Amino acid sequence: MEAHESGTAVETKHHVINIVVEVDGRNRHVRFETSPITGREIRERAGAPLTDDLTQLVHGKPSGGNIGLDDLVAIKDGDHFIALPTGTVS
Amino acid sequence: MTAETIEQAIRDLVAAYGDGVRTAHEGIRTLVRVSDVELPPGCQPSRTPMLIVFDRDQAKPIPHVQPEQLLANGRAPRSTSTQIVGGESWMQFSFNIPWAEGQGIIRSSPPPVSGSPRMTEAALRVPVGLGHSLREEVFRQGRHEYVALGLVASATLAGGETLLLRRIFTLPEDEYVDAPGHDGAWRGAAMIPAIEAAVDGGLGLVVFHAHAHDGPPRLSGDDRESAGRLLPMFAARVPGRPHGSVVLSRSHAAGLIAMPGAPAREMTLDVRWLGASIVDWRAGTEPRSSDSSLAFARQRLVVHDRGQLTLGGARVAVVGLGGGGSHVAQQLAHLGVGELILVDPDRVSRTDRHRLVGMMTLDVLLRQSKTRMIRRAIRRIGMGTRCEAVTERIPGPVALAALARTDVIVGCVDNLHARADLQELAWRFLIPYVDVGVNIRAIKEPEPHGPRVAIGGNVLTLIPGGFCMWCSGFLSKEKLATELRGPDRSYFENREGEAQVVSLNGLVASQAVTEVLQLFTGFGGTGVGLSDLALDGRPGTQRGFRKLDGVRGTLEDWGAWRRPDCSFCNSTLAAGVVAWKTPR
Repeated sequence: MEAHESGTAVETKHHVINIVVEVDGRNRHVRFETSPITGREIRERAGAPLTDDLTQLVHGKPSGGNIGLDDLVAIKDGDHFIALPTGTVS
Repeated sequence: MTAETIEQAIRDLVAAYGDGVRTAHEGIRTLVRVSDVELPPGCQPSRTPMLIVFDRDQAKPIPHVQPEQLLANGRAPRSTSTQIVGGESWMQFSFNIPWAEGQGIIRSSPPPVSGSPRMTEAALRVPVGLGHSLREEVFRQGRHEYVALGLVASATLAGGETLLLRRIFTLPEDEYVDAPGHDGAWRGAAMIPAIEAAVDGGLGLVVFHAHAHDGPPRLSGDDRESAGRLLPMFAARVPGRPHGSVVLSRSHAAGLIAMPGAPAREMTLDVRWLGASIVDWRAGTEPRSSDSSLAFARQRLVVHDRGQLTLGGARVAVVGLGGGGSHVAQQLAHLGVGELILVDPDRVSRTDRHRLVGMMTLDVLLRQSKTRMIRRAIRRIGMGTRCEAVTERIPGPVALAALARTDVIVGCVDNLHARADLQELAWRFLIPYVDVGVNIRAIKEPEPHGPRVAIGGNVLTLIPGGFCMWCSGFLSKEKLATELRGPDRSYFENREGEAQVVSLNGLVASQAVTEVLQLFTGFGGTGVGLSDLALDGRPGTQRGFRKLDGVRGTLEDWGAWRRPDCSFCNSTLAAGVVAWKTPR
């Protein structure tokens, strides 16, 4: 769904954006109907913990730094993201 | 076994396992069942019932475990058979219970080492300099535990699957986060540079951290949980390499390692730190000396018991068994090196007699192979050195496979192409390489009473991570091209006209053997930092580039430097074998 604000009226177009989010080495296929979306929405839809960092994958490599929970991301069909868990040791 | 000894053994087992011990008698056999025995880490399952059969007609008790038991390497034990014992199915196990008649089970002693002491679950090799940096980071004292991300290649070498550390990434302090319940926590995005480099290089990722104590470490539940999320993510990025989470103590290492295509398994690791000497952290029981003879008594004053034991377990390749190699191989046997890989495709000829130590008249008549001749000489020395003969030229597949399993390579070859091949092998698999050579040239117009010949030579000690032959200018494309226009690549042939003198060969060969002795025993120092290799205390100048002046009678260490921009080092050091992947 694509929303265009024009004066007081809101015009909405419907189309589907399919992205892939890799969580723990597994690809989760997630569907959105709007762009941009927040980092929180991507994590929640993909089932990644909100404490994970998130970044885009380009040619198999993390690219562009962490996408915060409230950061807006313009997505397009086929985009690939990866959740990077917080590492811990004890 | 006497009845009294068996009774004592049962009392020992009850003392160790309490109510979990049951006994039964079947004919002349006494069966002892222990309900829950913990096997070495990585065995699957890790806990199992065990049956021990005491048969008075046998010299030792025979252990059995449940069928389908797997060793830590994921394989079934060797020399096993499934039998019915006491009406149940058991698998006879190849484990050798430490046993002494009259004492029963010797619980205070580690099991004797059988076969190669190299058997372990996985191994890690660390180049000189990198190990120092790694330890500095993970043992750093601070407000939390510190980690380092290692990039590793891999290969199947002497210790089984071996991780070869190529590079480490440390994390800036601001990438660590406060996380209650954890001793150290870092942001996922902090790993992006390391992941990028791993993808670019096709390398595995290993998270290192430390528990600052002696003895074997164990991953905490927190370590395992975190690795449980990180390792699949690493494997998805670079599927063809092992990935892991490794904890170091001050003497041992253990970790959760995911080999390509396999789930992560907890395992212990042999770690080899390269430096002024080879420093090994062994995952299993340290081998104990069985040699009580006086054969090495005076050498032990220099290398100590531990050094002698290390020599006895060492595997050294001698490539080229001519004037230099014949000295080297036999001196290594005198030192008590456990196994020699002798590489030379040639047979002896009449012109070799003046310089091949150990050669006999009959060898000429029989046109004996050099490997066989040297093996005979080593057998006569009688120090128990095992020999493997490889009559193939470097870089033939049989020779390379044999060399990849060695601890140290000594190159006694007579051309630069062979040296380039050995240099590559040594760097790729992190094997120290000692190179020797002598070059005698006539002086065309000598002074009336001056020298008639110039005698040069070299003894290079090349420690992976330090300078290489390319860094030092010993090898260059121009030199190799020049050589191609001269003698061909038949390394051990067509050099018959070249001047050779046994004493000069022996001079550099003796120094090479002393270098090998230092590598295994560390009599001159054991540091693993590049500064530990500094020549005469000059930082940045590494010792090990020795040049012979045979006329003056000097063997002087000129020193050399590792060049940060050396394309050979940067591409080949710890590269292992390539990881194949399916094209997209």
